[in-house]
Amino acid sequence: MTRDARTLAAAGLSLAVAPIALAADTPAHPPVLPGADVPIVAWAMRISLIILAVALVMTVARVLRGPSVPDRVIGVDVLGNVAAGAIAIATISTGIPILLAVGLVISLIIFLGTAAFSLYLERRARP
Amino acid sequence: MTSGLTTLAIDTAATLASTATAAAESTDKAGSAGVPPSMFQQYLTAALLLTGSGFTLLAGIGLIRMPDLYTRMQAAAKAGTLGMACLILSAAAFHGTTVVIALASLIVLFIFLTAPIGSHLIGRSAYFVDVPRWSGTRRDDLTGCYDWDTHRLYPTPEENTGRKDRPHRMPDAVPDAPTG
Repeated sequence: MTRDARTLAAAGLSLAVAPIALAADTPAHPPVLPGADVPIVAWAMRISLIILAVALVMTVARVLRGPSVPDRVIGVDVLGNVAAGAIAIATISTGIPILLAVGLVISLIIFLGTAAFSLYLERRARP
Repeated sequence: MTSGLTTLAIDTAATLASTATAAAESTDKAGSAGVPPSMFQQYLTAALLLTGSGFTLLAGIGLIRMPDLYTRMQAAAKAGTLGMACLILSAAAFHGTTVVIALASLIVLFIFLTAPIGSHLIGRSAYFVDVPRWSGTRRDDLTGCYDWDTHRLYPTPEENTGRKDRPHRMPDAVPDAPTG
């Protein structure tokens, strides 16, 4: 058994542990109050959502306008950051903490896209 | 170690179950009371929210106003990453349970690992495909250091044994004003 196979087995095992633990019958925590019902957090959320919308418009403008392909790629990178931040705010607003996993998946996909695009561009530039 | 992981997994399952029941309760009767976070948690959440969105706004401004790709890249990589990390940590500060803090720390660690790698990759490929530089760029330390046949990087041009000149010339004079 090689080292890579062992690493893959460990990763698969750790991925399989979560559903098994989910299926187990465990006592529940008390429910969390949604952040929209807490006044201080609600106002901070409103302000930061407005600021995030402005940043989103700027980033989309760069993605649409970017003179070169790498410009658009870093624009999409920042778009992923903004999306994950908005998901964090949604987590606070609804009181459902497991939505953070969506942010993890988004950042993973955006990183893979950036890496794939840069490898493609470099291969195209090689004579 | 194993017992700690098992505890974490069981805690995750408990949080999932509690969110399911909370969602069910909130659909049953609107405004059902939950556990409010402490005052310190509320203020910390608000401060992290405003800080994170401010840094994200800085990333957007840098993306619009910076003159060429290589300067835009550092605004996106640094300010964008810090803003997103602050926003996710604000979620951790609001909920305050072990599972959410662990998940948020995992995401922040992942971002801090991958954002410089992605930025470096895209900058390197942009250097290869002749993305024009700002006219205010003083010097290019990489001239002659790349072997343009194999794309291997040497520390100094003297150690470069391959092809030192670009296959196509790099245009280094672009309009001074930002295009945004």
